[in-house]
Amino acid sequence: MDKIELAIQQIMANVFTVPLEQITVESTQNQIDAWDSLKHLNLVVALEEEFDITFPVEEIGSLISFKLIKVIINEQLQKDGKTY
Amino acid sequence: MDSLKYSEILKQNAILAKDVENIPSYRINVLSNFTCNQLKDILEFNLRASKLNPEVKLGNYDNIIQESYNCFGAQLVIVQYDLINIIDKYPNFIEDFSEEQILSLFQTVKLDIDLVINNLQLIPAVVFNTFSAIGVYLNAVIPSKADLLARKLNEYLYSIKATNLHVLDINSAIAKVGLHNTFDFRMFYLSKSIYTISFWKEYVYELSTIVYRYTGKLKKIIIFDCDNTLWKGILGEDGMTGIDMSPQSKTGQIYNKIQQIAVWLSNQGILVALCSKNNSADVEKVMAEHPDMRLKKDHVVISKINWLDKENNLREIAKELNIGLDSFVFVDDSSFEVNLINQQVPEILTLQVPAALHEYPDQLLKLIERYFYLSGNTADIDKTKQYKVQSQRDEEKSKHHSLEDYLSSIGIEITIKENDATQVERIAQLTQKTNQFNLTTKRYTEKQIEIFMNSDKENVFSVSVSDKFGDSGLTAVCILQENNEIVSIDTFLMSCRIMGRNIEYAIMNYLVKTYEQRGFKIIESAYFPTIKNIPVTNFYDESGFFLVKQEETKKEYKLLISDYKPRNIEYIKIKC
Repeated sequence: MDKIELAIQQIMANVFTVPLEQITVESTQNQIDAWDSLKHLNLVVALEEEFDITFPVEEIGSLISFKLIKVIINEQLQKDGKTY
Repeated sequence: MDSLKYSEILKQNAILAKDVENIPSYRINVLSNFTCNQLKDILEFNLRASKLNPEVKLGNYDNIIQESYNCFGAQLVIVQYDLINIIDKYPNFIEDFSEEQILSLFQTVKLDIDLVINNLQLIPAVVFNTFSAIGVYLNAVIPSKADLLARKLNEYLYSIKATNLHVLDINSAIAKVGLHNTFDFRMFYLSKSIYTISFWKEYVYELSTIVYRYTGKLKKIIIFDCDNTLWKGILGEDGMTGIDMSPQSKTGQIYNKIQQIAVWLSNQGILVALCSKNNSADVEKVMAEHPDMRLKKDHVVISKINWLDKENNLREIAKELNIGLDSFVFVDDSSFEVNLINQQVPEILTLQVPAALHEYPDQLLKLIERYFYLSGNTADIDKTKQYKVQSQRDEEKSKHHSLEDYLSSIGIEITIKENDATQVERIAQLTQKTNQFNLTTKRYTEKQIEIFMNSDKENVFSVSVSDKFGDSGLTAVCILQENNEIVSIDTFLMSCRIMGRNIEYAIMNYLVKTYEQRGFKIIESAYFPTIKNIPVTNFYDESGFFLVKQEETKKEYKLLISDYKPRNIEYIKIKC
């Protein structure tokens, strides 16, 4: 995993209170029981804080898998001219 | 918690949950008209870090009234009835309300408040957030209707006489984190979640004070160092007239304010104590006679003014007053002392005097707000006083580390230079102002130091000290004189800033070894007692010298180099 992926993995493990190794690049909302709508909010704010970005409202509903999260973070970082 | 990211709080919270699982749980119910699930984790984390075992239950969204019937067994109920969400249900904007509509809305909410407070009358503690128009609409020139309504509701809240009710002013947390860090309207429109993590952290600190009050976790005692903590300057070096806490001086006024705060704490029943490396008589004199001293003897419950290490002094205070170390706050300017306490007695809350001195009063007040409960009620004041008598001292954990462990962990490094002409100025200065750790108190000018350096008989050793917290600079000086086979210590002095770290013994090891290599067999030394240098009365005895002659004004010592047993202080690294 690269640096961004490792950070996403750690945050997902913290937010859903599962062991780190249970989170992989293949993880999706359907596979993680704890990933309900309230935990989704926690995930969003935790990711925003870590990467120092703000997701556009319309993207918040799209952050439903590890891969999508990574894509959207990268897009946002690029848009803001930031690196992580 | 201030510096922890939310994700890190979640992680630590899960770990802490296991640490506190055997402590009886403290049940908290949260009744709220908006989404506040992030409050749960942050509140749990903060309370678990204080060795409490909270069981936080969030009521169903926007069901405050119904949930207030279901709080049986809770020790604390938090009611968050937010104006933003109250007015969200109406078809027209609140500022467009008629006066009758505002009044009717006030009556509706007032009835809800009455009902909820009534339902919760058997709960030991109820926290009710104030209503705030910040986040709805504010107008500085023409008061907004939202603001008028909020004020009216708050006025009502504060008028309710219920002994279990604590009104919590949310404007305080909003002001502290700033408007733009408080609200996340994006999340509000998505899922009725109003507040940010920054807001919740501050809110939780404020809320926790109330929890601490009911669980005996409030701090009870605050212990101040003296030099550069209660006044500017070092009493032992600058003297009574050299220290500054004058309300008229730029720096002094900051210390004056700190003393005012300390006096206020004392008047509120908080125990105020002193712990300082100083001569006790000197500090007593300052407290009795210095015209700018606000903190007087009567305000101070116990003083440990001596040259022993602060860890043991604080443990002594706990023993003598019979209060737990976890109710201690310790304030000191030295990173050495603060880190010593953080590492050796982590249950003590510490505050290091900030380098940006103007922030000192504010930081102290913030800490007071978070960890003390100063209602001004005689009942609360008496209660605090009772702790002094009643409170059982927590059993000391057996993981008591030695001072040596601490010293070896901070990477002390000393650099010893011999006859270094570049340091003449600072060396002369040290001989002129060092009083406490100064065996002979001989004062020298720069010229005299230069002469010593250039002579064959005298050698001037200058010692700089650093550790992982920083560089203390040139802080010790020794001047030795050679006479045939004998070398005598003319001067041995050290700044009191670095006392208590065994640096003097490392220097002695070095000197003895150096002169042994140069073929000397005997070292002579002397101690000239003064009012100030009591701390070093036994320095030569403790270094293995034997006393050859004792007079009132002088103690003479001798050391046979072959008999010298160097102290084992390998953790101090010596560079030349």
